[in-house]
Amino acid sequence: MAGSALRRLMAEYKQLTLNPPEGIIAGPTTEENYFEWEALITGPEGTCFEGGVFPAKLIFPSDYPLSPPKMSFTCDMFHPNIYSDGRVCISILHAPGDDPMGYESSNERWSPVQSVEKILLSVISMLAEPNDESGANVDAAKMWREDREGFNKVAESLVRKTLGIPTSK
Amino acid sequence: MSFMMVDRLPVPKLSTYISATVLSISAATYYSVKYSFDASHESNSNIQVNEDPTKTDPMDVYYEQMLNVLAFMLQDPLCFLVLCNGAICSIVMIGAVIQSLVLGNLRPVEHVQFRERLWNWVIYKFIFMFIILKAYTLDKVALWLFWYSTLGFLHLMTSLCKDRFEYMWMSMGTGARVNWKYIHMSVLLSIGFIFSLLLLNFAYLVGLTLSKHIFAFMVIECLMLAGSIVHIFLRHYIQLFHRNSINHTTSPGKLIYYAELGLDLGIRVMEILHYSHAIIWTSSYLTMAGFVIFMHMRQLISDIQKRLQKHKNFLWVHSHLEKNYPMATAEELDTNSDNCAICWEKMDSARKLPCGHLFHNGCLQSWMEQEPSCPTCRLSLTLGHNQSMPMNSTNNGGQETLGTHTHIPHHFFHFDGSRYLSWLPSFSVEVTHSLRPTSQIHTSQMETMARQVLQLFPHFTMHSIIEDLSNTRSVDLTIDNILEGRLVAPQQFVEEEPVIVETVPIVNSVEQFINTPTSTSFNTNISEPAIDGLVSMGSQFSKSPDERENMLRARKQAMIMKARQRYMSKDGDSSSKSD
Repeated sequence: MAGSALRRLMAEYKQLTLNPPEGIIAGPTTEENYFEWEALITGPEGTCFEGGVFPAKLIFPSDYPLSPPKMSFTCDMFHPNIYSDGRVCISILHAPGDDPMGYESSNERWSPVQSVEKILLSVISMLAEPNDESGANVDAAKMWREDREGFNKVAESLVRKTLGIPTSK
Repeated sequence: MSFMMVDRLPVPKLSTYISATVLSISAATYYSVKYSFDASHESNSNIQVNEDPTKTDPMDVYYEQMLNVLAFMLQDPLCFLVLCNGAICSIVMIGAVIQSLVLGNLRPVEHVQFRERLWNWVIYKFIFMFIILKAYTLDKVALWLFWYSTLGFLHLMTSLCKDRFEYMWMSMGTGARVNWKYIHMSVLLSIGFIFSLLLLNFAYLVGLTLSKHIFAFMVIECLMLAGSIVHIFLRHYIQLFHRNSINHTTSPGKLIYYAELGLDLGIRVMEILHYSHAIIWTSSYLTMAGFVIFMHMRQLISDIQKRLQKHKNFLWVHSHLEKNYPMATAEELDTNSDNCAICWEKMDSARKLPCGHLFHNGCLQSWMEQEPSCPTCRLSLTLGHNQSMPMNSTNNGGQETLGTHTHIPHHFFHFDGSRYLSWLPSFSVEVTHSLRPTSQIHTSQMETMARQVLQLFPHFTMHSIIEDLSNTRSVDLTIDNILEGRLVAPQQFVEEEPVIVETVPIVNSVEQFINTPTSTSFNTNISEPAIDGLVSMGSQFSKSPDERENMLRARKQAMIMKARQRYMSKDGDSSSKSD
């Protein structure tokens, strides 16, 4: 029922506004449609994504929270668990029924007790510690494993890009 | 209608259509006036001698001539069709007026769906009219044109209202303006309902005099229309009630569930009866029309099966919950002060799972239909569960269309008649099955799907993607279409990311700020404490939507600003160190 999904999204929005977790801002893109959110995620400190502010889109199904939302970054990202089109591949966003990778245990998957906040926090920890077993972006996974220096450079340029600071010094 | 034969047929613009109709009518009138005048002139020349002096009133002559012209127009088949077209055009105009009054501008998705429905209706009923009903004489054509255009008009209005209702559920907005919209739409739907009853009456008066079969066709069509209107009412008014009710009861009443199930199944069974009646009556088992109708019936039957399976699952979960897990006692509710973890609302009554977690009965029920485990601790709740029970059959339509590849939306049929009898023709038909567009692909889902595609191919417009999606009904297929070049990117880039628009002024200011020689000192418009305040501003959650939206935007900008300053200062530090 869309009605209860709406109420729950409203409650989550309220909670995220009143007690915003460190480095996260999220809310509906427009008040017209509560089923599409935009979030800003700060790159975790001490990692190559530190300092960046990454915009992402969350699209909720009408039976939320029974089904998970879909999340994708709207900026350029280079990360083993993010597809080149920005879609985020983490287990918390997968419904218990489907298992695209075939190795996730079901207790990491979506359940109605999860929330936008938990998703975004997991995404932050994913930025800090990529899971190089899941190959959403094979090039990034390979680079992360074999050429960490190069990976850090790419991440650095992404951070600058999201902040609108030109790379040339 | 889940039958699509013609892809992407353009609907002519309303203004073009109206002007073409007006032109054709005036041409027909001119032609018939001229013709009938000639004819009357000939006959008049004989009678003129003993003309009655009392009959010279110019108005009377004029009137008589009008009648003559009209009678001529009704007899001449071409003129007659032009008149019919004029009548349909006036219905279309009424529809356009009602749409602009009640619904305002259509959103692009609604537009696409509307167009698709319109073509489906026209093509389907055209087949029906000429093949099943064998309307070859003018009066029959007139009758059926009137019947189907009225019915189609009502159907299209109903589905537009339905789409709009669904869209309105997506927004939180309440207040006078939204309520007005609801009232407008309900009035429109009620008028539709009254009209469907009037049509029923018409069917009784006209259909029964023609034949019992025709009467049955008409009655079933009316009932289907009335049923779908009642269905919309039921669904949306329950939701409205559900949303506005303060003491929130999580499970929609049993009565409502069964009413909805009954209507869902009833409308489909009626449709099947309707088509099988048509096929048996005209014994068109082996014709093209019969084939098309059989395909449609197959789709309907699988819909019914799915619905029944869902219901079976619902019943199983229901009895399973009732049997195995007791309701929590008042004490347990007292000690557990948390809200229901599924809907985040207060629990007045709850069901207790063996792991000790409490949930609303209704919330738990809808989760269990999907996955039989405790949402909090994932304890499996499949004790004594019959393994053959399909657990994932309840995923909503959107999930199915987005996720699975097992559904094949295109069927290609090749009938090689010459293999059976030498004179039989051979033909191939591609039938595109839509997943019951009216019930399963909601506008919002369509938009969601379109956005997914748009993220992959930002140079396409939302509109063209939605158009393609409305044909393919699958993200994967649309992506295939794009990759294989079947969908051509438009020249100009229309859709713009709102994020970019928002950040543009800041980027400019930062660039200026970087370009200034004193880039290590921070002279931005907003002082750092103010930014800090904005970022951590969490104490307010405004009641007004606009204020909320502005506040969120301000917070986002502040966050970017702050990150930028921090980055620059660190950058400055590191560069000064390296110097």
